[in-house]
Amino acid sequence: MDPYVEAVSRIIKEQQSIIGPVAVDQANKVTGLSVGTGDDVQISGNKKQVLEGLVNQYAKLFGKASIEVCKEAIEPVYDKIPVGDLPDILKN
Amino acid sequence: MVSEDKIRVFLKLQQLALDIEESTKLLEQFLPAVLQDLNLAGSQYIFLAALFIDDSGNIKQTFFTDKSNNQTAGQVTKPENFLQKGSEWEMKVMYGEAAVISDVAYFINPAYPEISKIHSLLMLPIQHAQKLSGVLILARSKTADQISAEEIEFGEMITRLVNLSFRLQDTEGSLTKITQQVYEMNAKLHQLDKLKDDFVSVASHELRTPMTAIRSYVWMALHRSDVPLSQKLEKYLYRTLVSTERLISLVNDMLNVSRIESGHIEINPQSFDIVALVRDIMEEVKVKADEKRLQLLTLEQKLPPVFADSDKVHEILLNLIGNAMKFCYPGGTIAVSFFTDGQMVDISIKDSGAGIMKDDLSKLFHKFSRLDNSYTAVSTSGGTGLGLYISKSLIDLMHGKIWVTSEGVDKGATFSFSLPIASQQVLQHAEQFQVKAKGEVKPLEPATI
Amino acid sequence: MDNAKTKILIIEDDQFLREFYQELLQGERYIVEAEPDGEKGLEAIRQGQYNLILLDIMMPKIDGLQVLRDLKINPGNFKNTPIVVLTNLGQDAIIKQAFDLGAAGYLIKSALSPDQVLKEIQSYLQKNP
Repeated sequence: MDPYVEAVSRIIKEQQSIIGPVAVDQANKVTGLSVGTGDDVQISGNKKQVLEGLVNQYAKLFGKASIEVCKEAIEPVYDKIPVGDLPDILKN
Repeated sequence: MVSEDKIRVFLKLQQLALDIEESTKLLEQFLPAVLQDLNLAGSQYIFLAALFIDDSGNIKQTFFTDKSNNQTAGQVTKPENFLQKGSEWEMKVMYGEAAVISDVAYFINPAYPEISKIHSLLMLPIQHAQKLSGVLILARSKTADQISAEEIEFGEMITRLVNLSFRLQDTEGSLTKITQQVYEMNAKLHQLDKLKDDFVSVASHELRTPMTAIRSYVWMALHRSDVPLSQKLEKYLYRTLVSTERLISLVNDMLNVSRIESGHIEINPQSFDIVALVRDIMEEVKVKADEKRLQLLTLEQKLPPVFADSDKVHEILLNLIGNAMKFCYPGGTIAVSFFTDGQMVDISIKDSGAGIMKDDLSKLFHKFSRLDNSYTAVSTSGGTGLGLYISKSLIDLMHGKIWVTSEGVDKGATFSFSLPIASQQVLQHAEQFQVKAKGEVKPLEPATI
Repeated sequence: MDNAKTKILIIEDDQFLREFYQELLQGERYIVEAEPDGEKGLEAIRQGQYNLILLDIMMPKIDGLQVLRDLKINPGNFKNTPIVVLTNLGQDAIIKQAFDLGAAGYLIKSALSPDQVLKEIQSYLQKNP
């Protein structure tokens, strides 16, 4: 699976386990992202931007704690995306 | 009476206030638009300021906007002067009236570059819930005597919009704060839940090694002893063995309960032959049943396939048949029968054993339900107290029902559960019967009899 | 089938369990050797000829899966001896990995009573004389 799609999917599922279906609703508000369920994710356009947009969307509503959650969620995928292609907000 | 084009401006601004998405910074975006539109309509205001007070009359927030839009109310004006107690304007505003002030220098920082253009100030009360919640200040280029009733009336209309926006922003701010707090608490709970799961897993795993060792050596002492065992010794060892097995079952059950409650159990339904499954299980338990001289009967019947997760049904059957064997007297019978109404298949496990008192029937499917020992003494091996709870939880996940009937003490008991038939309708909505695990999928620990 | 000609190797890090399996199987007249960790276990597998190997999964240093992996990549003299993994975990993923790496079967230590263990071992031996 494309590492960006995997990252996005993992983040949405993790957020879902904390706040429920609102996580999917919010994800759909991000430009370039279309989500059916946590497993059904479509990205169009610049993947790095979409990933960043997703993290920011959650941060806007839920604050800093949600950024930490995003970072934890993509831990298994960190080695699949080169550091330069990772949005700053997700860098450790 | 306010003119038509001023009303148009008002409606436009009202819509703008409602349309602004970023409500936590509403006033910062809204007020400059207000000033701009007022001036486009011909008002000639140099700046617009809004002060909001709390219940004690102290200023809690200020807003300021002028052409350059990069200064604050505190820099340009002396906000406390606007609400100076006992002053002529303060009393007017307290009564809900507009005040027009000529003594501009008293209120404005002389360093303000536009000060020479300001010749009067229009102070309007901002009301909320019939109380004064703040003041709107419009810096006019015209002099105090050059003011019309229309201007004041229009200004009053504008204060309502400013109030609306302030309330929206405030509510949004509160909501955001609350949302963030709730999120943080949920995140913590989620974390604790994960830790608890890890702990339960590790603890169970660590417990099992010594338990397996105890059970193994007690078994050896009983069955591979190099010296003959006295009756007493045999009894002691036997009871130790039974207790250890109970302990192992308990750890397995607790692990299962933890996994079910945390949503780590998946339900993957398929169509299968329930009668065949029952037949297999009866084979599985035959050895144990023979040990206790129990008769096993399966009243077979031609049935359509059911739609459920066969692994989980396997566990439930083992639990119910295992219970039946525990509570049956030696020489007794356990019979499994089926019934269908075309939609569901009911599977009933009837035993000829100790039975259950009517009052106790409802207690059975809860965790660690303990029945009065007086009539359950036949079950020396006991159960963990969790088996029925686990069975019920699994049945609930599979959209079935589980229930028990008994004529009373020593009259046996019948435990039944139902599963949906794999009809066209059911198969079409197969996804509704699927249950996905939250996070990691975990298996069920095997049921022991 | 003559048990006295059957050699079984047990690789298990817990001393009590290791010695228990040894005693249990020796009681049935099998010839039993035992090693306490993956490293020594691998050595024994490569040097000896066994009819059956019981391999614990959770061990320090080299765990059961690594032993299987090592034998798969580098079989040397090792061929065809059935390896049955001993697990307390019942975790499908690990068992599946073990099968992918060539395990012949698995036993859940805590779920089986000693006579059930004996029966299982007998059936594995019968499948592979």
